[in-house]
Amino acid sequence: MSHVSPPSFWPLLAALGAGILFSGIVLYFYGSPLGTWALLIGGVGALGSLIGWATEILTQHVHDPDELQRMLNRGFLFFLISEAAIFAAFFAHYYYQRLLVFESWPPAGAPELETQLPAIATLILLTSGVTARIARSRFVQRGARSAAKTWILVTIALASIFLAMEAYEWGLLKEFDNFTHQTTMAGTYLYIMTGFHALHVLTGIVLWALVYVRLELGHMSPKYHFAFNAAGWYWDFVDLVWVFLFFSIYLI
Amino acid sequence: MAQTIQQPMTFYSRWPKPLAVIADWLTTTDHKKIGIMYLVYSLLMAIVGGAMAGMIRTQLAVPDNTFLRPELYNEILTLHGTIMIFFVAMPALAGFGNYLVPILIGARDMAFPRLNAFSFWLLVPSGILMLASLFVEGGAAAAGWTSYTPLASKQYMATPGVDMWIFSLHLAGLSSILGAVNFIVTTLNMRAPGMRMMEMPLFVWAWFVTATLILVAIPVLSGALTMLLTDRLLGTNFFKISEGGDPLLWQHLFWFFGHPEVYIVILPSFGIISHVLAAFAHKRIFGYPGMVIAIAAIGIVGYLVWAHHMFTTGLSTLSLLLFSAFSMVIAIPTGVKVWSWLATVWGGTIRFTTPMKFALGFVALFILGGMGGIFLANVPLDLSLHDTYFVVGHFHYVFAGGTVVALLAATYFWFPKMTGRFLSEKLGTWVFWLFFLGVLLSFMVMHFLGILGMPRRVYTYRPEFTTLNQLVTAGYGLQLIAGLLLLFDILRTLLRKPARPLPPDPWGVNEVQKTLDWVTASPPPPYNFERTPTPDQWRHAPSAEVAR
Ligand SMILES: [Cu+2]
Repeated sequence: MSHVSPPSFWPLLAALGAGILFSGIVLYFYGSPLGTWALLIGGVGALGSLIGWATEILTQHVHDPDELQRMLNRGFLFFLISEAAIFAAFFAHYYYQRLLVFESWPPAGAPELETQLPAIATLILLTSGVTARIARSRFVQRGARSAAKTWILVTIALASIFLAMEAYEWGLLKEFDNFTHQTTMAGTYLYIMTGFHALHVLTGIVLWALVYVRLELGHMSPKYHFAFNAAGWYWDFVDLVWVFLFFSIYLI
Repeated sequence: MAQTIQQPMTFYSRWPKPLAVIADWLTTTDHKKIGIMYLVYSLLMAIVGGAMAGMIRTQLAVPDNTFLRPELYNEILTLHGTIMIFFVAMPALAGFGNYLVPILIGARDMAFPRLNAFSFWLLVPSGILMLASLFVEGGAAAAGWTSYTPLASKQYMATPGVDMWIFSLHLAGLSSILGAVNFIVTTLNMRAPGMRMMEMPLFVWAWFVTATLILVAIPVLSGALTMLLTDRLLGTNFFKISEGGDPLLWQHLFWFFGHPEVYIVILPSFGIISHVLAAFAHKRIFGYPGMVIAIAAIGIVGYLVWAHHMFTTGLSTLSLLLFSAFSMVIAIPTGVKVWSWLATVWGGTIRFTTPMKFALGFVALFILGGMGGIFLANVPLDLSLHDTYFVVGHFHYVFAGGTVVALLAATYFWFPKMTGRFLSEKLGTWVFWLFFLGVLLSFMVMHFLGILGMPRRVYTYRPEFTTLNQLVTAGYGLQLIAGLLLLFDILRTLLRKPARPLPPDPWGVNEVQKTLDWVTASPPPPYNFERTPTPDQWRHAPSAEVAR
């Protein structure tokens, strides 16, 4: 038999899971008792399907691993263009308002933002970008699996500290300045844009955890390590977006 | 030989027959089956969207009609537009793209077959959410397919229907983005050994450029939708004018997506028409490099024209000038394409098959639709034509007369390839003339209504517009009959067993403009080609042009 890809139930289940999850959000916000259930079923369904999907791929014979890795790398980078375009929509919104609409910034009712804590958080996130690169080069160039795993753990730890600091900073703003996502345009930008970014950091942490598990299981070699590339590029992207965010929201 | 290995998919061979068939379709990763599912999905949604058009035209058959409540009219109008664009045009083009692109480049499948299946299946919950929104308390979204804020904000439209509309488009958007990544990598990496980019058939080029448009345009819509959603559900201030925001921002973000969206549905149509015209003029496509450059140019300039949808919003004179000028510039690459098509047909040995009729009809209707576009790109004219039926007539010429006619050409052209049987040429002639004249009538008259001053998106009109509105409704009737005839013909043909198997090139078109779709069996085996295609199967001898 030629190399025709075998059938799979996972794409269908993952799609249905996503649909139920989204329906769950609507139900939840409009106070339906079904909301929580739909969120739960949809979330578990979508996530479970993705895990099933990933496990299924591992068990299958690959005809041309070099070509597959090239295609996966390329596909992931093109996907990141789409991610960048979503953030671009938010940045376009932000700069349009700040440069063309608002005469003074921050608008009345929004506090001057304290930059010390976010600056430290920025340094921590950028450091995690360096440790991620060290992890990759340890594995790809020297084949040092355990060193790579250690550096991945360091990366995950730094990313978690970053998230914790961000949450702490949100808490401070809310408690002392009564500043929420509903307080003026500035509050909306701060919470939604950094929040959307934080979701990406969280996704990045999950990706790094997956890379860690796959290293542990011996699934990757210095030659074939798409997951490593993907997590690495994703992390560079998350870092880069944060630098723009920090500059846009906190510095200017 | 080809017959004996038709069915290597033996995964469900031990299951009872009907279950095995269902499981096979639900779990398939074969680009041809996924393509067919996209097409069936699109056809079902076309029935829904077409029925909604029928409700709109019934309501507008006489002034002050009470067939639809005004609120329900707005809901139907919103869903008609959204469904026709996101659930009819895009899935149909994705269907033909899925089916044809791997075959045209000599590949076994798309680059990521499971992701491909995922892209399709996402459309199912997406469509369900959209249709279910009609039945929730408060009704469906009713702010038009553009959902301008503040009209679509919680304050003016409290129904969960709007949130369902947003999530539905999020799912459809994710589907399109993943599909686009798949098309791009497939085109770049999966071409048969020796096939250069500049040897790819125009349909592949068109889809490649379309995929790059999807990759950048759709996420901007997703971003804007997310902002609208957090405004509605979490009480953020993105589109709140009371917080000092600019009410135009939604329009900027929406049209930054919305104009490229026009090209997302028209570029693959251009590709289809190029194939059909060359095939039945029995000539090679005229000016292939120019055609490729024109597609790319339209793709790029298409990003710089979005504010021509906003000429009446009080933009600065400089913006008006620039956006008007860039909009006019698009006429140049579009003109290149039209002239290349005419030159392709010119002096050819034309066979007036049904797909050829649709392709020629496309060129005629697209020229008409394009001319309306030049009127609207002109700022002083647009100031008086904006939000009138002139605009509705214009974009229906381009969508129904352009994309849908191209899809019908593709349906008739590749039906024998996909199913191993021909649709009826006799009925096809009827379908063509009814649809062509219906489009011509309905949407031409809409232009007149617009010039006379009838506003769009209103459930009624002044009595003096009655006759013209009835002509539009009559044109809808013609299109409806054409659609029903086609549906009948498709079902009838599928239910009948073909008398004898069709050859790989059932139309007999593959001598002059060679493409790989006419090299493999009809229908193709699961792995498309028994042997990897070789350059002589798609490359033309350098002397071919002279020899003719
Ligand atoms: Cu436009």
